[in-house]
Amino acid sequence: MATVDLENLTVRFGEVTAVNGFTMTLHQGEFIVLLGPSGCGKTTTLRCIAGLQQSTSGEIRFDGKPVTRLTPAERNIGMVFQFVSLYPHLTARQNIAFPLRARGVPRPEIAAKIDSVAKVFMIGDILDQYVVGLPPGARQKVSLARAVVREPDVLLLDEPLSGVEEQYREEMRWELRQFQKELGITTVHVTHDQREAMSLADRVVLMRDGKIVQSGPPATLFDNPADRFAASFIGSPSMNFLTLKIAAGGLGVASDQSLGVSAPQEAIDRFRAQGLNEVILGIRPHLVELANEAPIGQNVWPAQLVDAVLVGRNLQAEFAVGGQTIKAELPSDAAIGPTSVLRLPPEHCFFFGPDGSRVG
Amino acid sequence: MTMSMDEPPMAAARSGRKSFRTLPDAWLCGLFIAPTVLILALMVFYPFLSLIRYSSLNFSMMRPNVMPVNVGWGNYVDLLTDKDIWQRFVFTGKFVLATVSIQFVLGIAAAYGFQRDFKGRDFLFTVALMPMMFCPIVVGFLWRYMFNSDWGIVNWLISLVGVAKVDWLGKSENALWAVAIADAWTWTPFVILLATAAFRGIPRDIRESAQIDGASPAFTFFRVTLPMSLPIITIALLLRLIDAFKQFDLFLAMTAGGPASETETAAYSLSKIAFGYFHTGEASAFAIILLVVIIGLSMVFVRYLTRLSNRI
Repeated sequence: MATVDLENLTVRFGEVTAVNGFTMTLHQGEFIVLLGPSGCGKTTTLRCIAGLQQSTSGEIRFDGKPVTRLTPAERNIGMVFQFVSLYPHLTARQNIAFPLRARGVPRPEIAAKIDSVAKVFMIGDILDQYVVGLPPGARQKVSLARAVVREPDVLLLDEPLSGVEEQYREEMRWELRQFQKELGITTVHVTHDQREAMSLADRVVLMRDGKIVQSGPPATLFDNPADRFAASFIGSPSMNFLTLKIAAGGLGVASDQSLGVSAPQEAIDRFRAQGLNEVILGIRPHLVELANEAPIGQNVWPAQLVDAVLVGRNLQAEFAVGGQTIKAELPSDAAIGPTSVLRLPPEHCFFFGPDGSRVG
Repeated sequence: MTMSMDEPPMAAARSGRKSFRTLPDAWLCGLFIAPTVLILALMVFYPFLSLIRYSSLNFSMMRPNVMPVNVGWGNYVDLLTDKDIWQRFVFTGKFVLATVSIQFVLGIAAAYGFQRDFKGRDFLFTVALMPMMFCPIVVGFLWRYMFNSDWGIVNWLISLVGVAKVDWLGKSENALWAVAIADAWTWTPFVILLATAAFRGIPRDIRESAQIDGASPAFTFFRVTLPMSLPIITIALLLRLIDAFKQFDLFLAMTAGGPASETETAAYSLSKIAFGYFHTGEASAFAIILLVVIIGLSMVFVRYLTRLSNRI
């Protein structure tokens, strides 16, 4: 269990910069999720912490001690890989014993440690099976047991749930979080699945092009995205984006100026001062309201129904508004017709500049 | 064309001559397989069956006009009660053990070395594979000269470190090692090739897991790399055992079976009976005995492999 400092970590592969000046402190016992699309540098960052990848520049410290030039074996880490990396010729027990035997731990001590991790991960009954025959979920539990049996300073998880079938993944996520809290090991988890990130993390670190876009508790990333990329990457179904025009009379939907948008005057003044004539409005589908009774006005617009699908207890509807698309997540009994009235609560609207930066 | 309703829709799409369309599937299958079966029958079954037939005859191909006499199991009994034959088998066994051990120790060690990335690796790898491509009889003469006790390079080299000259090919126990070295020189590359393929087949995640688990290179090699490569290495071992068991060319070139018949392998003996004395019947029986030994050996390996692959 340790505090991990990453300072200005940079990794270049020839012309490509995979990780670009990554700086962060992971607190003891914290569950950090590195989230981002493929190629954003999240796995490379993880491999740097593991020591499997040497950084081009920057420093890594465990509890203040520099480990940047140490080999993986010298760092006291545990790691679980994306695809099952258990030793296929060994049983579950022999797999878990492997890191202990490699370090020459005496046999009675090994047996005791295996017993205790087997209890945590509830795998006592499969210890003597060869790992190849086990279902993916059980195999990843054995992988986790092997990673933590040595009581590592840091636990590194590289998309450990991507090989587990969808139906068990939810359960595994919940268990993973329980295990992590129980063991209290500082954990770094890499994933491209935003739902996984949101349900596991104490802190989500959203990455793009080797840099941190936003870092914070899941709720912060969801409710207060740093930019358009963060807004679109997190949340399912993803956020609506509407292009707006800044005209003399105020804000309006670009393709139909008669659809007015309410925004604080100081914000509109700021857009003008920045020389913007277009901004992008973002709103999450579940915050779009059906307001058939309300008079048409700012943020209350007539909308043509394009399609609607019942997903579980929600109605996911797609509307056309002034030639642009708005998705709404409505209650299943919502009274939608070919023409409905939608309300976009101003307090839930975000504004982004044409370059994707958050402007309001 | 008429089409009944219960016919599958594909039937309508079928084209071709009517005679083929009306042929039952089983006949059509038979027709397609027939050429292969015919070739197999001519090239494999016929020679094999005639071998079995010859093995029960007192027959020499040098005297085709003499009516062969059926001796039943006679040839087998004669061979298996001949003390010399057993000595040939013992010698063959020693030779196989010696050459295959050298091949696997050196081959696996070299393959381990080739896992690392170093300058000129690909070139060196190609060079290392070359001995396998030489004609065996050429290899035999090459090594016969190198092992020449008067002017061979081997004796010259050991004389440099002050060791007395060795009569490499004149004494059977030395000749065994000399031929084993020549054979290993030819076939170690094969082991390098297969072991390299096996090692490269181990996923990167596994190697990195071992690194993170703090396993030393030796621990990783003996506990992970080698056991995971076992299926391929076992196949290599089987192939090398069978080939070494049949070794003939090198002995012909290097010792011609001498001194006396002390360095005759089973295969060498067989060729002497067949094409030296032209005891075709006895030679056929001998060939079948060798075949049985090799098949027995293969079956042991196949069973072991099945067990391995059930586990991995």
